[in-house]
Amino acid sequence: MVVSLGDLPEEILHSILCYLHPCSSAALEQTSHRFKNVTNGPLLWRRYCEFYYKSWDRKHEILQKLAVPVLSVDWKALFVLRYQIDRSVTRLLDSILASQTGRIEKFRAVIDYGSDAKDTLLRHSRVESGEDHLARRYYARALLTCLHRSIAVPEWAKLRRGEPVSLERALGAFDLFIPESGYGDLDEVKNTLTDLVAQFRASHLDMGVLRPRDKALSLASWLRDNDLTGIELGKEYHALEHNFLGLALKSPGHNSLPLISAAIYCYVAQEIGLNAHPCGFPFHVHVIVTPPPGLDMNGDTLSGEDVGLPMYLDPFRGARETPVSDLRDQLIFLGASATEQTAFLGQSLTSEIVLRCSRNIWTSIHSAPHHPDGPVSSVDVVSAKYASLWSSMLLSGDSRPMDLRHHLPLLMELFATDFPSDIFLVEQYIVPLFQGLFEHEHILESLHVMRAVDEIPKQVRRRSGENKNIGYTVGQVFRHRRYHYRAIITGWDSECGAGEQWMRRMGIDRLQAGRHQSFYHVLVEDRSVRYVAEENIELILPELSDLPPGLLTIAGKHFKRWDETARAFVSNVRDEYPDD
Amino acid sequence: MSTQITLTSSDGVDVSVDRAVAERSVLIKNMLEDLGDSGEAIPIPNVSNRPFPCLGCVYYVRTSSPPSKSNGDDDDNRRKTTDIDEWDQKFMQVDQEMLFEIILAANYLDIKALLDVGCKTVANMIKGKSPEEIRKTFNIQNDFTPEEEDQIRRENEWAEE
Amino acid sequence: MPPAMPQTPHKDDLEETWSFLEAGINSVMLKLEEGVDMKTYMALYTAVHNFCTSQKAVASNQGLQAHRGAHLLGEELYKLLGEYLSRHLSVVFKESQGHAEEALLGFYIREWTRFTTAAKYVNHLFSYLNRHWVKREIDEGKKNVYDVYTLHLVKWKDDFFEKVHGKVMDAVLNLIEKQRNGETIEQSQIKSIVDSFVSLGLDENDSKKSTLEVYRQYFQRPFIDATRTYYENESRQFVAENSVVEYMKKAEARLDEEKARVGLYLHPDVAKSLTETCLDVLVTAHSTLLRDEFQILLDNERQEDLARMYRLLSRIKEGLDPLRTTFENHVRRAGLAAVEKVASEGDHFEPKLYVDALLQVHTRYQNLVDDAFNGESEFVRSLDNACREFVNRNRICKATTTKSPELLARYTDSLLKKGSKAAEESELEEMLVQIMTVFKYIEDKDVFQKFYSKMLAKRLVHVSSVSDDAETSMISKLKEACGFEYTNKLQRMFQDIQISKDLNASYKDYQDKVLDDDDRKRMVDAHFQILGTGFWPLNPPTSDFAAPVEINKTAERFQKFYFDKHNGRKLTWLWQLCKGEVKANYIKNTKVPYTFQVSTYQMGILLLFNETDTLSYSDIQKATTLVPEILDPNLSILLKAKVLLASPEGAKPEPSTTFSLNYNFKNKKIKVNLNIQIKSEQKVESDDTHKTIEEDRKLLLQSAIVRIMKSRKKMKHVQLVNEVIQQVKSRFPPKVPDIKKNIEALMEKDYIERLDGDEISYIA
Repeated sequence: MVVSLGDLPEEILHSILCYLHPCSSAALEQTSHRFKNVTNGPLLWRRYCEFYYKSWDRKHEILQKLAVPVLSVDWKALFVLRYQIDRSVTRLLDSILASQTGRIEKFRAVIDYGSDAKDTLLRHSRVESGEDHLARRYYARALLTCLHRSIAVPEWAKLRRGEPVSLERALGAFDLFIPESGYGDLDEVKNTLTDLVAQFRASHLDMGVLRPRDKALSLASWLRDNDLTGIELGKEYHALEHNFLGLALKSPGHNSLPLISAAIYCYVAQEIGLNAHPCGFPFHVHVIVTPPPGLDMNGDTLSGEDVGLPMYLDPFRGARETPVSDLRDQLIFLGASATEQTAFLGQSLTSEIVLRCSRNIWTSIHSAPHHPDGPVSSVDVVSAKYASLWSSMLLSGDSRPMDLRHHLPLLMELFATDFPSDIFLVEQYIVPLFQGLFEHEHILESLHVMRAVDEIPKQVRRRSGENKNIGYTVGQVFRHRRYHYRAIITGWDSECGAGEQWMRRMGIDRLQAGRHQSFYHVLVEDRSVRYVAEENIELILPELSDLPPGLLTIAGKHFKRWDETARAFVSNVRDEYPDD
Repeated sequence: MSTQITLTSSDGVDVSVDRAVAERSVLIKNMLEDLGDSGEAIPIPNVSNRPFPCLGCVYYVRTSSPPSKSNGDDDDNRRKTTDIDEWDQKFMQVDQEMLFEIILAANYLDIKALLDVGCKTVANMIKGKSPEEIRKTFNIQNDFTPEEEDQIRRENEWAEE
Repeated sequence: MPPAMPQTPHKDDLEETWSFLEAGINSVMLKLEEGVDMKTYMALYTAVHNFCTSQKAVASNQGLQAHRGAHLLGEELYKLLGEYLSRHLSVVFKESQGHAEEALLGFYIREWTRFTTAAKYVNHLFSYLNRHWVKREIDEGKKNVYDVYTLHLVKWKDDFFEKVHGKVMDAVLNLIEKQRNGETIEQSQIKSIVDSFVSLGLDENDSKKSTLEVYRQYFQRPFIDATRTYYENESRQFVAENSVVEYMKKAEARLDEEKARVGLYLHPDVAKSLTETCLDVLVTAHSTLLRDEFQILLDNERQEDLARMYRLLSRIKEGLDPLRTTFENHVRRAGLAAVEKVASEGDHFEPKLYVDALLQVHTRYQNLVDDAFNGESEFVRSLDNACREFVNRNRICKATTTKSPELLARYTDSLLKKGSKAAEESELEEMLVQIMTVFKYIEDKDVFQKFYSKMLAKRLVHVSSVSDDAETSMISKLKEACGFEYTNKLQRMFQDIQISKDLNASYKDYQDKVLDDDDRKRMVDAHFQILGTGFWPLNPPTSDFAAPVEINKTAERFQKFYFDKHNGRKLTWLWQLCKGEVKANYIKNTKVPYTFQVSTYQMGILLLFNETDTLSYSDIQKATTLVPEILDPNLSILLKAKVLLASPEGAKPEPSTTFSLNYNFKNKKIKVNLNIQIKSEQKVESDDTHKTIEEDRKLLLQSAIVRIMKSRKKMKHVQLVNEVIQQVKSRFPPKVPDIKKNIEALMEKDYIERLDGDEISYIA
């Protein structure tokens, strides 16, 4: 008997199909009745779904689907849907890369797919090679983080409206702003904390019998003994990464500021039945644990209407209870009035803690030493700053419009240069804040301009006529003759195109060749954007490995890849500079 | 303690292998466990001579490689990759009929590692081919009516580049 | 000649395949002992494999596939196998009905073993079905599909077990009851039944896991119920016919027996509820009866039975609490009775008698706690409570609680004074340890300190300590118990004596250098002790005293030496504590002259007679300047000892009496001690001590109040009182009115002031 593929039993064919890409299964399906049957097993398509797509938008209720019998879900249709989204997102990304025009609507289309777009974006953000891999990585990452921010911002908006948001979600939202945190969902932060609870439970089986006070203390000492709170000796206190709950939980040393230490403590404490909340003590967030009604912290029954005294802890420093008298003494020393004292010693609102975290981040950014050669922070400073601005905008009380006004220009600038895909978030969440204030019109106007600029094709700059004498081309790397920084050329003008005021401030006319020489838009290695006169440019031909990795990451905004022979970047803005 | 086990193929050819090698087949392992080793040759009624000696020698040669791969009952791992290591690839360079017979034998004898390698090899033969190319490769008879064929192509348009 | 390979059935034909398989399974199920040959084994596996992989069967099922896509073969085989098992088990059930009791157990176990052994084979033979069809059904979320081995267990449970478990358990319980009644039984039978029940616990959600549910419901529950009934009956009957002591022995034996039973043939899961049930029925249910016996056992000192009762009641919740109260009362009564006995012997008993009585009671019950109650801390606490009660409040202390510390201090003094009966040093140390045992219970520790320091002072001044080591040992024990402050003065006294020894040595050197021969001839051989004023509980003399010339000279010479060394210090001579010896050369009726050991006062009187034989009362008073309160008793002693003779004869020392030297003095000893304590002194001293204690306490309270207020600045009155009690209670139990009185006193002195709302504030 001659054996052929069709002679193999069903179960073997199933095994083979498991190794195939679904598209090949689809091809096999079209060959004959036998294979049409075999390739339509529901288990197969469930496996494909699980294997190829890890992130599912909430609307699919994927966990519930996985729990019910396989036949009650059309897994093949679901897979096809995801596959089409996958293709569509890829097409959108390709199109974003291909032209600078109309990007905003494409961003929107990707973001609208929600978490369904994530697998695709993740894949593109990891490409190692390819004709346009720098640009692909850059925009895939930008969209991915935009997606994360569109999860984070609504949490703060909810807090603003006075709806309840748990502390770990409100603080986890900061992590979603930081691509390096590795978090893509707020549930992931919560799951990490839940693991801690399980670990703690496993090592403290006697929890049930302990008095509340002893519970509280043993939790504090367990966290401290496992280095889950506080900061290791020798670490910079204000380091940026110490401000993020998710990062602290994930990083090996688990270093965190008092606020984050307190949040970690409070989560676990609440899970084991303690009524613990952060306490907004000046300079140093503490934890306040209040006894259950009718009992005191020693578990003794109170008589009548008595309320048990709370206890205070400082999980950042260690396992000891902080006597309330110490705290009071400090407050008196600081000159706090009686009402202020009560406020400082009470539970903080989640929104207060978020605002405080936002301020801490701001402080970290501005107080951390900026050594370009020093240890690079594991957190992207721009993203952190952006997170801080968003949270403080959303949570500053309406009673303080000055705060809003103060932060608005900073936010708008950052948004326009680094996060233009967030325009929908700005429209939805920032614009309404200024309802009735004179800035309202301004914002709408600048958003309108942004859209207009996006929609109108770029003016084409040919290297002919007046542009014949432009010395350098887009993608070249140079060193500034006076300031010695390295930068990449991203665009040019035949003469200084900046406003009169700017020129005067910068003393352009004092240059040798004055304002009538070629000027270049450049991307500097410190990630800033500058405008440089041709006479200050000294071309260099670096090795790729000489350039800072951070520069490569943002280079993707304008460039496709690095050209090893030309020792320059390959332009991705040919729609604007076709000859470069 | 390398007890030799004799296996008899359906067409009456005897092969001797180490017991440890023979026990890579869960069927033989279970049987020896249930009945004990009587020293008799073990009849393998479903496996003919053709793939049979190769099985014997393959697993004779491969005894030195750790059987961890064959023990891992991890579906995920199975699906993760169609990569086949070089040695396996060479071993699978046989004509189609032989390949299918090896797969059937591995399935019958319950030798997971070998079954996986076989399935991966077939999957690689299907990869990237159009329906027509697949029909050709495996000599599949198209039994659809033109209307059926048209409908089914439309259903699968999503998978086309 | 091995059997030929059986012909495997046609793979597409279900009926043929099944009848081939059924025959095979039948022989595995019913005739496994005859063995299965390899060829049949392989043929059976192959038949299952071939059926499941046959193409034809697919075609015949086309209709089914149309709507569900891929389809695996095997459902029919699975169904048929299930039906076969049900049929087999209904036969087994029918057979089981012919058996009962132990025969039924034997039958169950035999069939169970046969069935599960076969299940293992069939599972292997059908492994192709398991690997594919069963696996896919489970993956697809089908309920009630199991791998073939589990299918066997499910069938056994549904088609056999459900029908017989009641009867089987009855047999098991009867067997266990027999064993409890003392008969020998086949334990392994029960063990097999337990194992079978446990195996049947299948997790509905995951066939790979097992639960104990079946075992708990069908075995554990009836077993526990039966156990309860059995012991309820047994204990009720036993108690009615036997003494409580016998019952406790029985109960303990039963508890051990049941514990052992778990290890012998039950599942460890039962241990907890079995023990709880037994304790409930055997101990808790009879706990009142047991506790009622406790007093009787204590009265009769039945240590072993007490220990048994402790062991039993300690295992039930709050079982021991009532015993502790009884025990505490009992010890207290024993202590009071012992003291009563001492008191009944009159007022003048030895302190030793009293302390011994206390110690005896303590030791007896300490031993009982250690041996019978496992040294359990709660009983130790009860013992301490009782001891504290009878040490501080008994008939002898009726008037004042300070009597106990006084007697304890006196007893200590009697041990540490030269001439005590405890000759051996180790023995003495042992007794000091015992004193500390009592000391621990004393509430008025300050009283003990007072008396102790007085007596220590005397021992040191009169050089009458039994040994320095014993003194230091005692002081360090007190220090350990009450802290440095408590023993500070005692240690300083001890130091003064050491320093004085050195001082006398260097004074001797000084004399050798400074004195001429004439001086030396008249010199009085003297020893001086310098005692720091603040540390010694001593008072300056109550009377003037013109010391005899010889003494005066000696004293002045020493004073000169001392002031050279320590400029600016003040020395007060404590004449009342000085003593010396004088030789009576005037008595001629003995070869060796008598030596009189006398106090300085007596010396002053006697030396006057060097000038004249007869002196009037006023002569003596004028010469010595002693007040009558001192002079009179001393003269009395000299008269009584017949060193002096009174005129008129038999007259008391009073202004009209004259005194003359008795030349005919006679005594058996050459050394005559005239320096004896005057009777009334002791009583006065004791009263004085009690009076100073009141004073000291007042000071202690006031200093505590000031100390607390100084650190707290502001405080509620009640809080302050509490705080003061905390601070001083290690010295004595303060009375609240006393504290309040002292707070008032301090307010008057403007140390503290009263604010609104019952608050007190410190005035800086």
